[in-house]
Amino acid sequence: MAMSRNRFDLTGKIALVTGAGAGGGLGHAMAVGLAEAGADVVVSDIDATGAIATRQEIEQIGRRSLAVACDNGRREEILALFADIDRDFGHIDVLINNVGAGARFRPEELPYDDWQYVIGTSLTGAFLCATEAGRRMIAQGSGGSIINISSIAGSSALGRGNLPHSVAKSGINQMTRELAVEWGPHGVRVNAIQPAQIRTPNWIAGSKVMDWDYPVWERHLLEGIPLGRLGEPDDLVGPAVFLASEAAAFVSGCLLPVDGANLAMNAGGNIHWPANRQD
Amino acid sequence: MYTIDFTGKVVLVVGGGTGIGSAIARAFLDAGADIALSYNASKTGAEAIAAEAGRAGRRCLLLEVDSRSVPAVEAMVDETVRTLGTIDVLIYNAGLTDPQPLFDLTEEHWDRTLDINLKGMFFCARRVAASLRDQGKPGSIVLLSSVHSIQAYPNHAHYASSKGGINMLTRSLARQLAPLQIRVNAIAPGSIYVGPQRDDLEAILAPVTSRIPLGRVGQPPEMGDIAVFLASERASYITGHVLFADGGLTLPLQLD
Repeated sequence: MAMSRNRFDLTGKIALVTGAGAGGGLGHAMAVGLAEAGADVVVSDIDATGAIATRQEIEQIGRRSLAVACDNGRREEILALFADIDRDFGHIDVLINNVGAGARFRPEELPYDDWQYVIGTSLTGAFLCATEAGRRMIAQGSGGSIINISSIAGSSALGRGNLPHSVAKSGINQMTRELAVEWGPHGVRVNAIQPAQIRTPNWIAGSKVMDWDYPVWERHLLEGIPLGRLGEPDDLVGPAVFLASEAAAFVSGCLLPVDGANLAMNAGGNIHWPANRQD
Repeated sequence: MYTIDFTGKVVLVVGGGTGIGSAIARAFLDAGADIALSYNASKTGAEAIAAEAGRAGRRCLLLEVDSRSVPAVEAMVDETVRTLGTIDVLIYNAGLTDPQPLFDLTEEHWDRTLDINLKGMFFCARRVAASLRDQGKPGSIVLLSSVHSIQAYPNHAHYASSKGGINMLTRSLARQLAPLQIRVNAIAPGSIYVGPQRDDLEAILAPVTSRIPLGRVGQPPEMGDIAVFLASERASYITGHVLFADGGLTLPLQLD
């Protein structure tokens, strides 16, 4: 086997991945990926059945796991999640803040409740998880790695009804940088991953439900992805393991796009709503 | 198990005789690669790595190259392909840091820095991309930028300009080479200590480390780990990115 000193090894690390209950989703892929790299992985999800399925998959790899039902939009449920981690593991080394919500409306028609839902779940929930994890990492004295799942929408104005999602993700970006500065002295590294469109079952279903001509929509998206394909959940695994591991020991405050060069060409947005556009 | 394996792959490290370049070359040897290593002044360092490669049973081609010369860098790429069969990964680390007070900075200073840091890089990267295109292979290019690419420091007008250019070169090459499945990324190191170990190092570095959120300078092997990751299939959807490896140095406002 190559690599005499495997700096990507996560053996002995305890990780939490939020929103990891949907098979085929990003959180699920990263949770299993961390386990394959050696970590014990706590799985949270609003769907208890899904969280348990991911837990079983991790246990089959031979790692410890814990499945916790948790609505990332509810503070008391996040506090209970961390109490469960304290009880069962008494330690946390890695947090992947993966839960995200969306509500696609024209801005002038966006209901207040949907704004609150997206900001509360994607941004406030991520803040609560980060501070709960960070507080423990500081007290442990052994540092840690927090990985926030942002989006290209955090840097690029996507249009097409992405307002609350984009605002939440840009907040995630700056939270990443602020926490990296504040917690650097404690050895807690904080980074973000900015995916482009990733072909998860949820994303595909969400794209089809909008009454848009899907082939036209996908072709439109690919115009902004020089690598010539949409992302797959597995594309997130390498970057997540890298940022969690000692290989990234000097990397903190980084916003890492996993986007096939979308942000490099700065092509995220479009002023058109592609309602069955023929072009 | 999560491993990165470059067994059977050829990695060209331009500027590999010392410091960060040497550490990156060692990281790729550790991951199983054959390497070609160019150096200019640091022959001893380059020969040390060649010896390590030999002990590991790996091929290592040493090339003495003045990276200011376009014919020289193109010949370097051609000789590597001729000798080792291919180039799967290019690491372009050759660079000159030559601080000059603003009003003493001559045309010669400017040209020397820009020619090594930016011109040689472009022509080298394009030649490697052309060889990958001709062989019908995907590949990965990692360029070495710097925190100087986004932060202005005294006496570095020419150096900062070259590094800022590297960031945009990274994006431009990434976009144009993506259809060939050649990924292009950069590493922007912060303060990386490449000098000898000494007892009073902590005190000497204190003015530097006090500005870095992680509270320490970086070590060259850490740049090797990042280069191996970016060049690997584990980063297969990452292209056009400048990854700052600076312990958070560029995040907060820096006074004085």
